[in-house]
Formats: sequence, structure tokens, C-alpha cells
Amino acid sequence: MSEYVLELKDITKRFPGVVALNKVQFQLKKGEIHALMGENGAGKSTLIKVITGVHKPDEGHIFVNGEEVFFQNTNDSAEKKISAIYQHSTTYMYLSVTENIFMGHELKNRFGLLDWPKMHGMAKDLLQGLGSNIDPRTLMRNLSVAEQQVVEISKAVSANAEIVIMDEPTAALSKRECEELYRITEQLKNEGKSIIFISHRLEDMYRLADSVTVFRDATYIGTWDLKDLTNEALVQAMVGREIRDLYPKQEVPIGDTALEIRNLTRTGYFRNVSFEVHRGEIFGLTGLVGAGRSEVCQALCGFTPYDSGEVFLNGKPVHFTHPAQSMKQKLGYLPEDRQIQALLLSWEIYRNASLASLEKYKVPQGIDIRREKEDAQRLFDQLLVKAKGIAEKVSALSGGNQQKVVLAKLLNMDLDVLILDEPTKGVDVGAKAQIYEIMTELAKQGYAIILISSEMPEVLAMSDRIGVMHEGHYMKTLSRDEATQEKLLAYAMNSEEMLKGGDGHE
Amino acid sequence: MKTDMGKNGSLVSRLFLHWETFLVIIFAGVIILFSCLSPFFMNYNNIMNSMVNFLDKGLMVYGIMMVLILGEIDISIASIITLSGCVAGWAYEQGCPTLLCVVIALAVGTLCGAFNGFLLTRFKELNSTIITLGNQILFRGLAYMLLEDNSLKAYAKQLKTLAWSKILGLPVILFTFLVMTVIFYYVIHRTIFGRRLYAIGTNRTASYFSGIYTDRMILTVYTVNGLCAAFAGLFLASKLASVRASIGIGFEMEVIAMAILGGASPSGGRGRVGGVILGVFTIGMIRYGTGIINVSAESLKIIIGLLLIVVCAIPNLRQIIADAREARRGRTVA
Repeated sequence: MSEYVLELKDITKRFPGVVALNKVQFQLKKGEIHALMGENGAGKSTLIKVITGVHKPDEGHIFVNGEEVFFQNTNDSAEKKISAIYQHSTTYMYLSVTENIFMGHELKNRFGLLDWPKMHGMAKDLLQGLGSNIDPRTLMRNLSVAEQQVVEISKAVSANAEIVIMDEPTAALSKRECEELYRITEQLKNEGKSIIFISHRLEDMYRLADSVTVFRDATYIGTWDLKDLTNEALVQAMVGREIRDLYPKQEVPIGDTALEIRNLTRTGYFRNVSFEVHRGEIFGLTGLVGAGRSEVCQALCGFTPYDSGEVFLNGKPVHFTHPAQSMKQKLGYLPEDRQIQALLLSWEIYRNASLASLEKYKVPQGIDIRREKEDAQRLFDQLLVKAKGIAEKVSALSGGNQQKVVLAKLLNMDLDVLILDEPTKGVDVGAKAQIYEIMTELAKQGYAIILISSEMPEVLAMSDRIGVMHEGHYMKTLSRDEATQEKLLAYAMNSEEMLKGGDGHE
Repeated sequence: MKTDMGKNGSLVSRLFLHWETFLVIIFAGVIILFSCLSPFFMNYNNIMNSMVNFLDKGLMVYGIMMVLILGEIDISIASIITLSGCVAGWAYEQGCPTLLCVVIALAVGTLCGAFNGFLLTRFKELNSTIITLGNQILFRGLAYMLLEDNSLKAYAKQLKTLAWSKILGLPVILFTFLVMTVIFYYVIHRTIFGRRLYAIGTNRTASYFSGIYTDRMILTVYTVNGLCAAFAGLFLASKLASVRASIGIGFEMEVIAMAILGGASPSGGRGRVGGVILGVFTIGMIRYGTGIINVSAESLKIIIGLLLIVVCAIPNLRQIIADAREARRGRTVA
């Protein structure tokens, strides 16, 4: 038998006009967690689809346990005990956990009817085997994203998968949920399963992986044992150049107060939240998912109502009931989910960039499209958007470039205060660094910036001051100098022990 | 228009991928077919006189088109025609002058449309099909309550110039349709309002996050749609020379068919005025042609129904062709 449970040799996959994979290699040993890294568009997803039989490779060979296979569809790969858990999971939201787990291989009793008691029992056992006590009768939609992932994993386990592929499993999880996922993943590994793990987060990889394979621009860069690999070397392998400083934060003179909120309260969401942001300042707002950070910012911008409290913009009291009002007063919000909340994917870059500032282009004949395009082109160049041109559809862009289009839309509005909600979520390393550079540049120009983020390293590196929230309460403002990852986490989790002890928490 | 076209391929293949091209072909096909079937089809006077039979729907098509661009639908417009006409007819019987009755008709239509829009923006969990279905029944019910089974002739006779006279040699209704086309072309394709219309239909959440007053836009569009219906109702009353509570039944479906044939889609964000004009005239010419060759009204419905389904299947076929084309090109490049 071969040393590898899965081996891909010289795989090439072409799509109309692009080569998605160019003679790539991949080798997975039994019982290892193998991280697959690369920027968006590097070919990771295509590789996964080749492994699971969604795509047929144009050239190359696939071996499972040393035996060459030719997958025609996902059933073929399932037969070889390969199972994939996708980022946007393929769950049936209105069916129960049991139904999701047994979808496609339901159990029947001797009358040929579905054997619910047995399936529920087995589902419960499976979930408990993974250390989870989800009730198998619960509807999928009533579970958190993390719990849904556990169900997906148990589905893979129930199909006796030997090779489990996880595509960005931690993208939507809070810190604590990530820990739970790490535990389950390690448990699977100890049971002898082989795991392919795709993630943007370096943290995931360091925590879990035994080895890592890096792709870039559809080509295979290399495979390393994790213990032989430094952070710099990895980033360099991924982006093809050295990122000497991923976080180019610069000291900028801090100006007057631009935005201040006092005792903002919305019952059931957040209570007595107060903070202020100055011109030239980047104010990090952090906390676990569900701490109420986005809710506070959406309320002060007029997206949602609030019950009490005051908002001051440049010293003047304001109360917005619609985002158009806050935008007019030069307060802009970059939403967390760019595809749903910020972009018209089927529209061109320039029409996205102008959507929030159309009034600027008003002429008697309608819209001054020439000027609209000029502005879009200027921002396109300034933000280094990687695309064929401003007439390209946004759907064709990578995550990082889509985010730049959203930024272009905000910058087109001539704002004073920018609220960026998870601006680097799902963005690859290279584009991330560029977004940080843009933020730094904007702070220099005098923008006041609120950076909402769950990524502690990002908040720590980019913020002048950091506010921490926990379950709707504003816990603490920390200055750049006093903030550490431990402290932020302690406040975010409201853990008195950690706050008192203050000693190193991992 | 230029920006919509693919940058690749020859002029022919670019045209081939254009919706309006298909419509022109279908329209030409309809004309040729009927010209062969009847020598009276290609007759200027006949064609002009046929206008009054389908352009009353054409006057409503832009209202519905805007509703469709938003990603909504309105099936209450036929009932709005009826209610506005009946209220105006009733007011005439009470002694109101004709002009005031016309204003009343338009006002009733506007209010009905606004009521649709109000309900839709106020109760977000209900969708527009349900709300306008409810109002379709409600508005017609009100008309029956007002007139019962009576038909009022006096008011409608005052309007007879609308259906039967000419301006600049064109039937009033064609002239009106052309004027409306120009206005709506400007509003839909040139103004900020129009741009926002498409934005809302493409992604309502993102539009809201971009500071667009989505609710206000929806309310406005539904109100305009109601006004269009009442306006078309004036011409219908004129043609029928009476108003009663049973006029205009089924109009909404034909208007929606015209708009969808023209390239608008209930899923929102799509459709152009140019295509919709073709949609109106294609269905109009079928109506006129079947009349000339003495096909019954029932068969007409079958034809329009089939045409709509076939035409709506074309984008899928087109996509298949486009994909095959792309794949071939990709292979040669690689």
C-alpha cells in the first residue's frame, strides 16, 4: 500500500479562458491534518472540487490508497470515503439535524418506512461522539453556525469518511467555537482520519496542521512540515513576495472628536455604550461574535433604531433614522457581508462605486456618466483594484478586490467618519495588507475610523485605541500601549479570573 | 446600450446575444405570418384602428415594468382600472363636470396604487403577489358595491374622443403611448431614480445599505403604477362607451405578459424600455392579426400563453448557446 491515502499528480484543470490548476501536486498521509493555503483564486477550491469529483481534471492522475481513480461525480468520491464540508454548508435549514445527517442514506425499518427512532438515536450517538449535545430533533436553522458545522462533520463521520475536507470552517466562528472545532478536528485525526483543512487564518493552521501545502496562481509552490516553516516563509510562499510589515500602522496626529456616543441603548441588543473617535484615529471595536459591536454601529448610523442615548457628530447632536441621513452627514458604514449588504454583484465596478453618491452626478439630462466613470477610474487606480477595468462585473472579482470596490463606494462619498465592519473577512493576505495600507492612508487624510474586528492581531496592530464589548455591554477602552491579546480576550469574555490573574493565557 | 453588450465576438454574435434582437425576430415573424394569412393585415388604416384594442394595455406597461424592475409584481391593476372608472362614472351621475370626473378617476387610481405600496412597505413579511391579489379582489368588490350590475354610459360617452380621434394623423392612444414612452425612457434609463430602481431590484439590502430610500421608492413606483392604470382606464371606458364593474378583467396578465416578453423579469433588476415596446407591439399585432383571420378570443389566449412560455425559455437556451461558445473559445485559447 502507498504511503499516502490520497495523492494527486500533475493535475491540470482549465476553465474557459483560465487555467485554474497547472500541474499541481498534493499528497495526504494517513492520520494527518494537512492545511491547504493560498490567496483567493490560487486554486484551492478547484483542487477540492477535483478531489471530490465535482470537476474532472483535464490532465493528471489521482490515487486513493495507491490505486488510480477516475471520479465522474461526488458519488464516486463518496464511495472512496472522501467527504467535504463546505464553507457555505449544503444544509437543509428547515429539516432536523437527523434528517440532515442521514440525507441520502436514510435508514428504513422492516415495513420500508423511515426508521426515525433508530436514526435519532444514531444521530445522538454521533453528535455525542464528537462531544456535542445538540438535540437531533432540532431544526437546522435553529442552530448556530458552529453547531451546524458540527452536524456537517457528524454527517461525514456517519458516512465513514476516511478523508475529510474542511473548507474555511472557522470563517464564521467566534474564538470559543473555533476551539471546539479544533478539538473535534483533532479527535478525528486521533481516530485515524486524514483531514484537509483550508483556511485563511494562519492561527488555525498553526494550531492544527501537521503539514501545509501552498498554492499560488494555480501552481503548486510546495509542501512543508509545519515545524520547519517560519511565519515569514509561509507568507512569502503564499503571496510570492515578502510582506515585511503586514500592518503598516503609522502614527498620525489625532485631531478633534469626530463622533461620540453616550449611553446608547437598544433593549435586547446593547446597553449604555459610550465611546468617541477622533479625526486621524483608528478606533478598534472588538469582542466575540454577538457582542453587539455591529448593532451599536448600525444603530448610530440609522439602520436600526435605538431606545436611548445620544450621538454627536462633530460636536452636534444627531439622530439618524435612515442610513441616507448619516451618509449625508459624512458618516459611512462598510457592512460585514459585502456580497449581500454592499455589492450589486451583477453590476460593473463603476456603477457599484457610484451607487451611494449618485446625487453628485446629477445633470439635467440625468446622470453624468462620464464624470461617474472618471471618479470610478481614479478610485480604481488609487485602491489598486485588480480587474480588467471599471466596466468589469463585480462578481468576477476576488474577495479582496470586491472589498476594495466597497471601499471605493465609501470614498466616493467624501466622508469624515468611516465604520469598517470586519473589512478583511474572507480577504486573502495580499489584499489584506493593501486594505490596511488604505486604512492608514485614510487616517492620515483625517478620517476618523472605527474598525470592528474579531481578529485580535488586526485590532492590536491597527488601532490607536481599542474598545471591547461583551454581550451588549461596553467593557473597557484600552490604549494602544496597554492592550495585549490576553487583555482583549479577558474583557471580551468577561473572564474575571483572567482579568485578576493577568498571567499568560495561551 | 453599448455597455450591455459583450466585448467579445463579432457584431452578429453580439446582436445574437441581445434580447431585443430576439424580439425583433419574433415581431417580424408575427408580421410575416399574418401578412401571408390575410391580405387585409398589412393595411395602414386597419393597423391604426387596431391600436385602441391593445395600446390601452400599453399605457399600463411602463408602470408594471417599473414594478417588475423592483423585483415585485402588481396583479391589482385591472381592478384599479375598474374602480377608478366606476367611481368617476358614478360621480358624473351625481352631477360632477367631466373634467372633474377625470381627475377623480386619476386620483382613485393613484390612491389605490399608493395603498398597494403602503401595505407592501408596511408589512414586510407579506409579498407583493399576496397583497395585490387581496387588493385585486377588494378593488373590484368596491366597484361592484358602487354600481352593482349597472353600466353607466353617459360619462364614458364624454370621453369618446380619446379612443376615436387623431392627433397629427395618429390615433390619440398611439400618440399618448409615444409620449409616455419618451417620458418613461428618460425616467428609467437616464435618471438617478431609474438607476436606483434597478439597484433595488438587483439587491435590495445592498441598496438600503447604500443609503437608498428603498421603501419610499417602492411606494412611489406603486403609486405611479396605479396612476397609469387609471389613465389607461380612461381609454378603455372611451372604447367601451360605458363603465361597469366587470370591465378589464384579465388585463393585468396581458400587461405583465407584454412587460415580461419585453425582457422585464419578476426577479428584478432587468428589462429595457426598447424591449418592452416590442413586447407591447408583438402581443398587439398577434391580437390584431388573430382578429383579422377570425380566430376566437380563446385561441388568442392560447397563443399568447404559449408565446410567453417559449420566450421565457429562450434565455436558458441562450445561456446554453453562450456557454458552448465560451467553452469552444476557451479551448482554442488554452
